[in-house]
Amino acid sequence: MGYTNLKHFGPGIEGWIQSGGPVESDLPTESSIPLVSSPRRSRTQRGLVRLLQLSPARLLLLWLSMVVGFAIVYWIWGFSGLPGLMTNGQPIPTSLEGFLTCLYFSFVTATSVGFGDVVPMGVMRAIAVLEAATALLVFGVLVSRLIGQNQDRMIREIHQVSFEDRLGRVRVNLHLVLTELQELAERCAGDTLNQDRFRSRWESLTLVLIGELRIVHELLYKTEQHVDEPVLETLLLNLAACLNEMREILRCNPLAAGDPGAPRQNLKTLSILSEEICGECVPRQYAPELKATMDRIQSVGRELAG
Amino acid sequence: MDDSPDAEELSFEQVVERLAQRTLLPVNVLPRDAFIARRIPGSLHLPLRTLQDEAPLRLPDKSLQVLVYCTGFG
Repeated sequence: MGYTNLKHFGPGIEGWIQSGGPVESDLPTESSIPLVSSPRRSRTQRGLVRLLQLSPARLLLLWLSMVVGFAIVYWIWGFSGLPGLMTNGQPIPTSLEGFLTCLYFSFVTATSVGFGDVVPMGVMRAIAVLEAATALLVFGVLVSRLIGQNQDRMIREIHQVSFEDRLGRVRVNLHLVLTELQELAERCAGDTLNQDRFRSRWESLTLVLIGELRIVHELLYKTEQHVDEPVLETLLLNLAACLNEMREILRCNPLAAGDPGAPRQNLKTLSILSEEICGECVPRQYAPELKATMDRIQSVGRELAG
Repeated sequence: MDDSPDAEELSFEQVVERLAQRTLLPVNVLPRDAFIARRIPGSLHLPLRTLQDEAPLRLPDKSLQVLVYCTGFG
């Protein structure tokens, strides 16, 4: 699968416990999943990644702390008697008023406004430049996070709409396939089948059903998208009914299984996909009725290949 | 994922050390119930059955140090 740094722990969880390793149980919380750093990332990149992972509230707090922190640096520097912040040609006093001026200068610098009424001198010029650069970076990340949150919400909504649309199409398709299969089964029982026309309809129905079965299989195994159980139940019931009809048709007309080749292969595909739909083999836990329907799909699917 | 022929075997001490350094991500490939019952702290759950499909989605960085483990002892 292309993983270049794969390690293995042979003793497994049993060996881990016997060696006295710490164990976690219950469902994991987000915070219990460690932040693993990629060996290729430099310290700067890791710092940036951490910055990007902060919540907007924390970013705002960080930005404000930076502003106050730099203001304290400017103010303390004033005690040294060396050139620091100046206003009207005079150094900023070391009083409380002086601190407020430092705080004002720090805000003006962090927002890159620069009114010019307070100016840094000497080493403080470098400190002011450093403040402007770092505070602007944090502020930029904060703005992008706020915009990003809104975009994420919109993308989730769009995904949800297209996902529900897809589910709707699967339902309609399964219903149509079922209706067609029922008609074929009735005609098969009444012995009014034209073999050539039957073959082509049967093959095309099998292909459509494979497509829908793949989607249902994906819904059950890819758990990022949540499907409501009533919707899933409808899909599974339709699917089970389709497979059931197929089994009836095969019993009535064994020729439907076809010669070795494509048609037989299609039935095999159906069977392989159905094999993985059962109450205990899907990753999620479902209601007993749903599990029973899944088990039925699996057992009928097995019969189709046989 | 564990079909790679060059998956290096790590000792208990190596695993503990790398977990402390946060340079190793443990991946539990057992079924859900076994995963919930007990696991190495911070493990990611990728059941063997869905490993092929889910691994690229949940572990896109293929250079990460990933530690795969299951029940062990047989």
